[in-house]
Order: sequence, then structure tokens, then C-alpha cells
Amino acid sequence: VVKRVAPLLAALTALATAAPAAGRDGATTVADRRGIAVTIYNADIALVRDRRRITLPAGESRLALRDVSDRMLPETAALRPLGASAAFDVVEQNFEAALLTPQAVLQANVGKTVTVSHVDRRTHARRSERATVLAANGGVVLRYADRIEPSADGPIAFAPDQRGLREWPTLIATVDAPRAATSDAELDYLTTGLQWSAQYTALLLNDGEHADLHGDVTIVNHSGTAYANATLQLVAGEVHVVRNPRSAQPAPRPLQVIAHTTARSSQFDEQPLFDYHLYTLPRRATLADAQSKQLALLDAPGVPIRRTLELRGSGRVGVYATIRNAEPELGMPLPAGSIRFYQRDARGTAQYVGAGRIDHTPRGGTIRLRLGNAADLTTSTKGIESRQTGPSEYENATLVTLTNARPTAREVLVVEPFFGDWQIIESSLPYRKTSAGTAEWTVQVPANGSASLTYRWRTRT
Amino acid sequence: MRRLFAIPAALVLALTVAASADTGEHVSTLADQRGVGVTIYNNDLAVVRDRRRLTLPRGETHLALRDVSAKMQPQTAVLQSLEAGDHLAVVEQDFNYDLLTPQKLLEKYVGRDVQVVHYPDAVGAPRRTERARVLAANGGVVLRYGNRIETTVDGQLVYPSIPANLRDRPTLVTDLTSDRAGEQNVELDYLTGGLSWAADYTALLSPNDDRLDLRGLITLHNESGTSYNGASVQLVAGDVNVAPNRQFQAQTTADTYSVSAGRRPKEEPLFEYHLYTLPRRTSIADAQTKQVELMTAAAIPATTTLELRGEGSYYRTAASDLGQRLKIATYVSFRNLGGDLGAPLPAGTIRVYKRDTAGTAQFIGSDNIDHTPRGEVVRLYLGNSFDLVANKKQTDYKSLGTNLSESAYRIAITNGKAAAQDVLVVEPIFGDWTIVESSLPFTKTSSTTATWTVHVPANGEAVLTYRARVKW
Repeated sequence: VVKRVAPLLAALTALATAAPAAGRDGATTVADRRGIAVTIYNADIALVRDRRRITLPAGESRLALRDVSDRMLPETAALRPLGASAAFDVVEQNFEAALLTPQAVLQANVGKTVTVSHVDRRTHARRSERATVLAANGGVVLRYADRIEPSADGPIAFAPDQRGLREWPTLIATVDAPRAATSDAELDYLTTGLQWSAQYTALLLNDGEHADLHGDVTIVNHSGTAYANATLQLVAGEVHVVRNPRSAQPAPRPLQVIAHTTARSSQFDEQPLFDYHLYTLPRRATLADAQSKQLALLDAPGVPIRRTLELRGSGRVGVYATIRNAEPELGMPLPAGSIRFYQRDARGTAQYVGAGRIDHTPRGGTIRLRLGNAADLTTSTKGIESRQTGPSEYENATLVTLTNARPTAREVLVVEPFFGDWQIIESSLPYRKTSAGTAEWTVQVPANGSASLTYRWRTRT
Repeated sequence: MRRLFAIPAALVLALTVAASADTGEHVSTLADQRGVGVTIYNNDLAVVRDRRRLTLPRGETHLALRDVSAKMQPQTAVLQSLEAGDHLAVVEQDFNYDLLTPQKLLEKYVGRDVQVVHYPDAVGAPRRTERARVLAANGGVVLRYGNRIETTVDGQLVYPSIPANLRDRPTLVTDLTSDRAGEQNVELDYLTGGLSWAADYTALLSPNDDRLDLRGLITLHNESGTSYNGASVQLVAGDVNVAPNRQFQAQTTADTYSVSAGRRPKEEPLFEYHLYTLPRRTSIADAQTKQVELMTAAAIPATTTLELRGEGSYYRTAASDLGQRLKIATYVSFRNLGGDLGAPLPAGTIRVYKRDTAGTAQFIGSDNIDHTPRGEVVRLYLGNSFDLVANKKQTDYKSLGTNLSESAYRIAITNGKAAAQDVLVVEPIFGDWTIVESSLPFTKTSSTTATWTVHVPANGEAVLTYRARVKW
């Protein structure tokens, strides 16, 4: 039995003699667990299915379900019997958040008689005196036989039975069993405090046209509970989750353990689930509390990658990488996450060349990221003419110059935004109108040289 | 929970009667309670009907009713006798929430004398007690002794008694007159905050996404600072308008305490709302969330739709890229009719599950529903499709005159699934509009909406192009 009692409360708990002992109240703890399965989603939500072997008396009884997630959403909890014949009915469920705290114990004892130990500050001699707790709002007020004092000048001892207060928020099911029996039951609930995301690394190969892509998933457990030998599943996709403002959540603790993986090939089996994807870890795993765990998701060597140089508007030329999520090298759902690009230098050391975030990418989709700016390409964009040709009609001309400091020729895509109703009437290079507000040119910039583009356009407002 | 109060109540009573003996106050606690009824509304409101058995003298009594809700609206409190003939008349009542705290106690003693027990001067020396007058209690204390003034308490303050108007718990105090002496049953009715309820539903979607099994639970929350033991509980579903700080006559009907067979709440219409009565008495402890089953219904016909919804803001101006990889939303809808359905569904949250290939029910999304009467359609937004995304752009824009323009669009939807899917494209368009060209047939579903159904092949792409002319 795991007793999760803060040290401060240990003394009180000892006094409070295990609340659910009496009568027809039972409790189930992690010792009764026969298996646990956890499905984790991207959006700080997880589904826990906790299988317990429970012993119930005949008739109605109350069962405290202990060792569940601290961040359980109690309104989602469902306890059900497993097996062919239903061993019990759930009459009602209660989530009790009246916690065993020093203040709660004081408040529960308002009007009751307690014993105060007065301690002499110098001799440390103790003297016990009976008192009645008159109030416990922002401090205690005590009535002794002959006087009233607004604080306790020594430890207060309470009666040993403090029922109704629990050391932890507890889910209690009132169940009705036709006969006394031991049977298996499953408790399902949603909890926050568990999430996962993907991290990809792409090692750009020297041919400039391929990359080795590797994906890991990182699972973070902040739920305050460990899930030992759990069946682990992950759902990739944007699941809509209603957040209940009532469920106040404790602040997460800093991560204490970080478990890394060295596995290269995928450790998961994938299947579609509704409009999402479900990943199942075929073996059992343990998620410790305050732990971050890493597992391999995919390994795809030699993925074709297209690198382009693009001038969007004016300024620096951006370096973009485009990967098509297609077979044979890829062609699998890629969950959202971060991606980092590396390239080997002349000595073979992988050097970091850029990073970004990718959204959920289905089969057939593309990943496109701006890695950074091209250091050896400089540009200048300037208007060379502007005149009014009608009541609401203007004509403009622009000169774009690109200069290349490298000993190899480069191809740059120039993308220019336009506003309103516009038309290009003259251009030194062929253009493409790619949308109602965009035109594109492909410009070849020679080695150690420069290239220019001039175009003239008319707008009506 | 009931045991907790049954034993100490006698003690509490003994104490409080003793405490107030000097003030002539008659105190009633939970020990006097003979039944409690609670009717809870959705919007943080409840009616409490607290029946107590009191022994009152003939004539005027100063009665303190303890163990009432801390969030009571005192102006709504009504105390009446349940005996034949009206024996009680309330002269004055007052919800006393001036709580007894060490600071409040000190403040009440400003200008009065207290004792200060000084710490001993030497080992073994006796403690010395000195009388002092409390001069002030603002952010500290100022004390005047016989020969000096001190600004700290050198020792322990000791008070002779507690002022009558400081209470350890929220207490309703009334001055009433009774025309007879002896025991009588009374009922205290009041409105309170701190109690609320909502429905929580669990839906299991069939493998083909065409049927739902629905189970509904009622979730009660008690943050009112008080427990209601062995209470008969009723719930009202509907948006009840709450006028704050207005006199309210609490409804009391003779048959509200009836108990029906079965464990599910019984539903009946009440005014424009619906009333649910829990079949058994139950205890609602403070800081407790309680759940009881409301309904179950199996194999409800359901439809799943994928929807790409536009914004409508771009039809009058030139635009370019209207979004790469736009999300396509998934909806599940069903009608509250037929089979086990047809009863009103109270507002709450529906959480939808679907079985994976191993038969395990996995969570696939949740949404809130409003109060849903019989026959209405429930539509749930569950999430966004992973495998279907859309790229959308304006491909052309022409101004055709003042407040008249024409624009063209291209919407490409890709499907990474191994099955073909239909996507509903919904475009809100405002003004006087016509679709002058379209690659697929469209439906004008309202004066401001054009709708297309785009069939997207498995592992493929489908493109919709259209041109709209808008006058405004």
C-alpha cells in the first residue's frame, strides 16, 4: 500500500487512524492492480484504464479508489465490473476533496474538547490543559475553564478519530453487490498531466538532395502518479477537449528523471483511429512520476529533400527545405513536433543548420521549413518609376538585383506580393501569377556574379 | 458522512448553548435537523429546505440557526412553522457572518480591558498576569498598562468572554415570536450559491461511425461550505433567470420528498424547465463532487461529417494565399429521438469513445451540449482530421465597378486515408452574391452560405475551383 502523506501531516494521520476502516467502507489500492493501460494525447489529456481485483460485501458498500492520478478529472471516472455476470452495480460516485490538513482538522474540531500542551520556554516543562476550540478561522480561539486565548501556546492534541477528512482527494463509489465476492473491475478516467510530442532530426546528406530522417516521441508524466508496467498508446491528432474550469490542477513538479532511447527503428505499431492515428507500444512500459521518456517512432534513411532559395518581398534570401511525405522512403503519418536539421562538415561532424516546427502531416503531405538565410546571396529591390496613368490607375517599375559570392551558380525564386486589381505589363524574365496577390520569377544568378530582374505593373484601386 | 455529524452534534449543542447562555440566545444546530431537501439549478443556485425540530418558549426568542450554507442569500430566507395553525412570526432576521478570528476578537476589545500573561522573568519564576487596555488593533496592537504603553504583546493575551455577535460558523439569526411553548417542527427555506450541477455523457461510437451508445451521469458540486446529510435532491434543467438581491418565495410542495423505485432520477416538466428527482436520499458533503446515473441509450443512429469552413472576409478584396494545410473539422451528430432517446438531455459535456482494433475504447474527443429538448439534433465537434487537409487560395480578383467585384478560388483537399471521404466545404459569403463558375455543383444553404460536397479519393486529392461575383 502506497501511503502518500506529506511529512507535515504524518503526525495528524497517525492520530486520524485510517479513515475508511469502519463499517462497510472498503478501499482498493495499487496492490489490487491487475493491469493498467494509458492512452496519451497531444493536448495534455490521457485516458487511464486501471484494472483492479476488488472484494465486496453483499449489499451496499462504499469503496474508496486509491492510487489514481492526482490530476484525474473526476467527472469522467467510470467503474465497471468485468466478466460475464455483473458482480456489482454502481449506485453513485463521490469525489471527496475535503483534505486532511492541519487547518481542516482544527475546523472539524470547532466546538470539541482538545488538549493543549503548554511548554515553558525556559525549562521546557510541559503542562496539559483541556480547552474547547471556539473558532478556527484565520487562527484558533480557545476557551479554557477560566479564560479565552486567541492562540495555542503549545501543540494541540485531538481525539484520535477524525472521520471525513482524507489525506488525498479520493474517488468513492457506492456499490451494490448481490453477494459477497471477489471480482475484477475496471476504472476508466481521463486525466491531465500526461502529454507527448514528436522530435525529428534530419541529417542532410552530402549530395544535397537527400536526408536521413529520424523521429522520436517524448512522453512527459506530470500527473503525480507512476504507471508501472503499463500498456502504452499514443494518439496523434487534434482531439477537441472540453476544459472544466472547476478542476483546479496542482502545479507541475520539475522533471526529475529523463529516460533516453538509443533505438533507431520504430518501437510502435500504428493504426488509424477515427480521424486520428493510434500508436501502440507492443511491450509494457513504466511511466514514473515527473519523468520524461523518449521512444523511437520512425527511421527513414535517404528521404528526398528539395532545397530552394527564395526571396520573398525584399531583404535576405531564405533557404527552404521541402520533404514530401511519400513512399517509398516515407509515406506515413508524421505527428506534429519539432524538427532539427544537421549537415556533416568536411571532417564528418554533424553541424546544426536550422530548426522549426511541423504540424501533423498526413501521407502525401509535404513538410516545408525555412532553415535560415543564404549567407552568400545579397539582394536589392528598388522602384525605378511610378506615375499616375488615370483617375485611379498607376504604373510602376521595379528593379531587383541578386549578387552571388559563391563559386557556383544559384537559382533563386523571387516571390512578390501585389495588392488590389493588378497586371504585369512588361518583365525582363517570364513570370507566373500563382495567386490573386502573388507573382513569381525564377532567376539564375551566375557564380561570383549578379543577375537583375525588371518588371513593370499597373494597378487599379 | 452521516456518522460524522451525529456524534459530535450533541457536543456542539452543549457548547453553543453554554456559550450563549449570557445572551439569552436559543441555538439550533444540525442535531435538530429532521430532513433536508435541496433543489439545484445549473447556474450556481439551489433552494434548500431545512426542517428542524425546535423547542421554543412562548413569546419572543432570539434564535440562532447554525449549520446553514455559507453562501446563503440571507434576504431569501423564510422560516415557518409546520404545525397546524401558524405559530411563528419573524420579527427580524439577520445573516451573521462576522466570523470569530483572533484579529476580530482583538478588534472587539478595543477600548476594553484584557489580561496579559507575561512570560516568567527567570527559571522557575511564576508567570505574572497584568491588566491592560486595548487602545488600537490596526496592523498590530497598542496596549496601555497602569504605568506605560506597549506596542507588542509580551506574553499571551487572555480574554474574559466572547462578544455575542462573533460566530464560529455562518449563522442565521432571527428574532421571532411564538404563540405557544414547547416542541414544534419548522422549515427554513433559502436560496444559496455554491451548489451546481451538470450532465456528463459518455458516448461510444460504432466501428462504422454510424451508431452511438450513450450514457449520461449527473454531476453535482458542493462548495457551499456545509454538508447536506440524507438529503432529498432535485435538479432543475433549464436556464433560470436569477435576479440578484430580490425577495424570493421558495417553492415548497408537499410531495417533493417522495421516493420512486429504481436508481435513475425521475424526470417531469416544471414550468419551462425539467425537474429531476433523485430516487434515494443522499448526503452531499462539503467540497464533494457526486455522480449518479441519468440515462442510457443504445445504438442511436449517428452521422459523421468532415467540414472545411471559410471565413467570408476575402470576397470583397484582393487576397493571395488563404491558408496552407487548413484543418478539416470532424463532427458527429444525432437526433434526440427514437429508441431509448427522446427525453430532454440536460446541458453538459459529451465525451466520445471508439474501439481500436484490439477492442479497447479510446477517447476521440469531447464537446459541450446545451439543454436539448426531444427531437432536436445534437452536433458535436470532436476534433480535426489528421489525414485530410486543405490548401486554399484566391487565384484572381477583378474590380468590376463601385462595390462590385469578382474573385476566383481554388481549394485543394488531400486525403491520406486508405478510404475515400466526402468533405463539406462551407463558405459564408455576404452581400448580393452569385457563383458565376464552379467545378462542382453548389447549394445555396442560406442567404449567406454556399456549400459544396467534395468527394476526395483515397490517398488522393480533389480540387474545387469557383468564381464568385459580389455586390455590396
